[in-house]
This record gives sequence, structure tokens and C-alpha cells, in this order.
Amino acid sequence: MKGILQLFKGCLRISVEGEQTERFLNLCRCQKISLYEIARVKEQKLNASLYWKDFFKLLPIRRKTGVKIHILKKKGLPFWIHKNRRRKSFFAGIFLCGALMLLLSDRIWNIHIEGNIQYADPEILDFLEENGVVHGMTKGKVDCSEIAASLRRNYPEITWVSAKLSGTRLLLTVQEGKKQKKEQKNLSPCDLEAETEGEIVKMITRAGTPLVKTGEVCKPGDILVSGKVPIINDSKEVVRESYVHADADIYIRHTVSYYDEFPLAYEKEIPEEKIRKTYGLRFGNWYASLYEGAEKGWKTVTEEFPLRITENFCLPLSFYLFTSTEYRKVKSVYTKEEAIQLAEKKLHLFEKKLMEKGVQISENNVKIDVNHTVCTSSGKLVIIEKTGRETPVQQEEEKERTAVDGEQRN
Amino acid sequence: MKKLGHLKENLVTALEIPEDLAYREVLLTVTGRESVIIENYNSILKYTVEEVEVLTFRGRLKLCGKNLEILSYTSEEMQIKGRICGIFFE
Repeated sequence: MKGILQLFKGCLRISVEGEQTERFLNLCRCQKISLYEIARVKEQKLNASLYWKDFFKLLPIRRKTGVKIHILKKKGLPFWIHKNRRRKSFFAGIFLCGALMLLLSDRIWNIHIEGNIQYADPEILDFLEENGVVHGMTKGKVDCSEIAASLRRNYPEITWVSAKLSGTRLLLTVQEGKKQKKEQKNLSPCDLEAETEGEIVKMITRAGTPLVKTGEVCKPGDILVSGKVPIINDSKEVVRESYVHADADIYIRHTVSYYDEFPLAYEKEIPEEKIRKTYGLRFGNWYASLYEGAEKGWKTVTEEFPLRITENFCLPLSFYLFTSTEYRKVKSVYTKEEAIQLAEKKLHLFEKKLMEKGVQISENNVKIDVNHTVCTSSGKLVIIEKTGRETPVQQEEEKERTAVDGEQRN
Repeated sequence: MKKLGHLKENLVTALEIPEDLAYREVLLTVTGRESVIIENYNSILKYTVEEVEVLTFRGRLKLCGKNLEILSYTSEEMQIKGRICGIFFE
């Protein structure tokens, strides 16, 4: 630290020669001139270092003591500036650099978003851009509370937003709640009908009149839960019929056929050692590359490297890397084990797709056969899935059943 | 005058004032045989490569050694570096 201070202030190494060198040191101390690294060189000569500004205070002391003072070495920033004083453009460059730093440090160069899961960074950045919050804007124009409020307004799933400025960064921390269902359910009276044929294994009715029971078999189009609810009086007579939006969880068991076939002979792509790398450049809409296009027998992977200053501040300049690998096609045949493995993989993928839809697989009766030319997977899967399609209920004209009506009918 | 001296001594003892502050005693900080820091001194009387003589408020202090060099020399303290052989009070 002391060394840095010496370089910044500028220091001198001097030699003091005379009979009264000790008196010289004492007078320096009285005048509050800091001397350091004092070394006796000869009997009447010593070397010492001092700050550049203190040197001019030595004149009266030199007169009093009659010593001779020689400057041995000059070092530090003031001397360096004096030495390079003719290099005007160099100093202009330093000044310009400082001015630019000052100017650029007053702007936002990084918009950092964290905590977002549902909404990707580019989506939020686009929204901010629409609201005038962009990279390079001055810090004075940034209204953190307004940004937070507008984000909450536009994205209802975002429950909490914190926007703050940290240096040249705008930090946005968001917290997302559960996705609100925008669509309001249609609550008009309806029945629930079966979509497929199968056996009902589980049924929970929340609204409506169940027309089937667990264990019964239903066909497509059969009404499972009716939206018509009879209102019964104390005498167990139907007073009137009310129509509701039928609501129930109905699970049916049914079978799904599975068939897959693939030939055992196939063409295998074997990569060669030959790899060719070419480069490209994109600036805005202008594009240039050394890549000549797709060739037969070559596979190309294209990678784009956008030039970015900060994590989200991309310049309209991108570099492309095309890595082409030569390959040759070889005719090959799956072995029995390989074929079975591949067939199982395909079946597993099919099951996975079913399960993603919320279907449970209770039985798997798929058999895999491998003959000389093809591998065949066929069979049936027993699945349990939710059913109950909403269909509008046919409403009858409401007739209030009264005692008089009853008499008239009779 | 003697009584006044005794009174000062008693007062310093009673108030537990450090002696370097009360009597302007010289303070020496010796680090091994290589470095000495002298505080509360008056002036340099003699400085050679083998000897540094300092005037303190209570007498003279002589430092003997080899290749003695004054690293810093300010109004508060003086730091001496070199091969120190002896410290004498006169």
C-alpha cells in the first residue's frame, strides 16, 4: 500500500553530502518532511527517499546545513506524466476512456431475471422492451416499482416481483404461484356418456343421477350419469325434475390393441474419421458462410454462437460453426436379442405415452415374435382410463305434479 | 522541588498512567536482531553504518550493529534495520 502511494504521489531518491548530515535529518523531521530508506553510503554522505512535493521544502534546510543534494532517481506518476506530456493523443485517449466509462456506467447493461419457471426470459424481456425497459437505457428512466407492478399486471401467475438496480444491472426476482384456470367451466345441464366400451371399475358421482354401477359393462354413447335429478317429496313421489351439470369420476377398464412390425434388415450409419469444420457469420439480416451445403454421405451439425455482452444482451452478430462428419451406410441385420430389445423399447414408449394421458395399464398381453425377416409385436393391453363425455341433457317441459293433475289423469 | 517530583510519581502510580506518556520515556520495540522501532525521541546525534545515537528526553540511546539503515524517519517514530549488536543507555 505504501509502495502504491509512493508511485501515485511521486518520489525521489536523493544523496545528501556534507558535514552536517545528522542535522539535516533532524531539521527535516522538524519541518515534517518524511524521509525513508536512509542509508549511509560514505562517512559524510547518505542516500534517502522522499516525496516529490517535500523536495522543494529542502531549500532552506540545505542553506542552513550547507549540504549538497543530488537527485539520483525519480519515480512515480507525476514524473511519468511530465515525461509523456507531448503525447497528447495518448492522454486524450485516457480522458476519453474515463469519460466513456462515466457515461456508460450510467446505463443499464444487464437485465437479470430469476425465479421464473413458467415464463422464459425472452418472453419477459420482450414485454419489458414493449414497456421501454431495454438494455442501454439510462438508470434515471428506470422506475423499479412501475416495472414490478406492470409485470404483476400482465402475468397474473407471477405473485411477487422485486426490481432493483445494482450498479449497471437491473435485477428482477419473481415468484410464481399456481396457474390460474382462465377458462370458466360451462355449468349448463349435461349428462355424462361413455366414450368407449368397457367395464366400470370405479365411480364417484358429485352431481347428477348415476345410471350404472361398478362392475357393469357400458357401450359407447351410453349415459353413465344423468343430469336429470328427480325431486321427491315425503311420500316418495316425484314432485319435479331438476337439471344439473353432471359431474363424476368414472373409470372404465377396456382393452387396446397393439401392433408393431419392423424388418430385421436395416442400414447402419458408421461415422468415418473425416471431420470438416467451416465457419459462418451473421450480422443482422446479412449472412455469409464458407459452408457449401449438404452433401451426400455427410452429416452436418450447425452451432450458432451469438455475441453477447451480458447474459441477456445479445448483439446482432452471430458466429456459425458447421461440423460435417462423413459416414458410410452398411447393410446390417438385427440379432434376435437386439430385435427384442428394440421391440420392447417401442412398446415401452407406447405405454409411456398412454400413461402421460393419465391411463393406468393393468395387464400387458403383448407378445414379441422374431422370424427370419421381421420382428412383430402384437397383443392387447388392458387399461383403466377416465371416461365421461359431457352431452347436453334433453330437458322436458317442467310440469308441476299436483293433486289436481293426478285426479284429472285418472 | 523534590516533593513535587514525588507527588507526580505518586499521581502517575495512582492513576495508572503509562510511563512513556507521563515522563516521555523512550519506547523501544525490538524484533529479533534485525529491526528496532524507537518512539518518543528527540533527535539523531550520530548516524553511521555501525552506530546510531539518538537523543531522548531522558538521556542518550546508542544502537550498535552492522549495516544499519533507517527505514523510516518521522516525527513519531524511527525504524532501524540491520544486524543489531547492542542497545546502550547513557
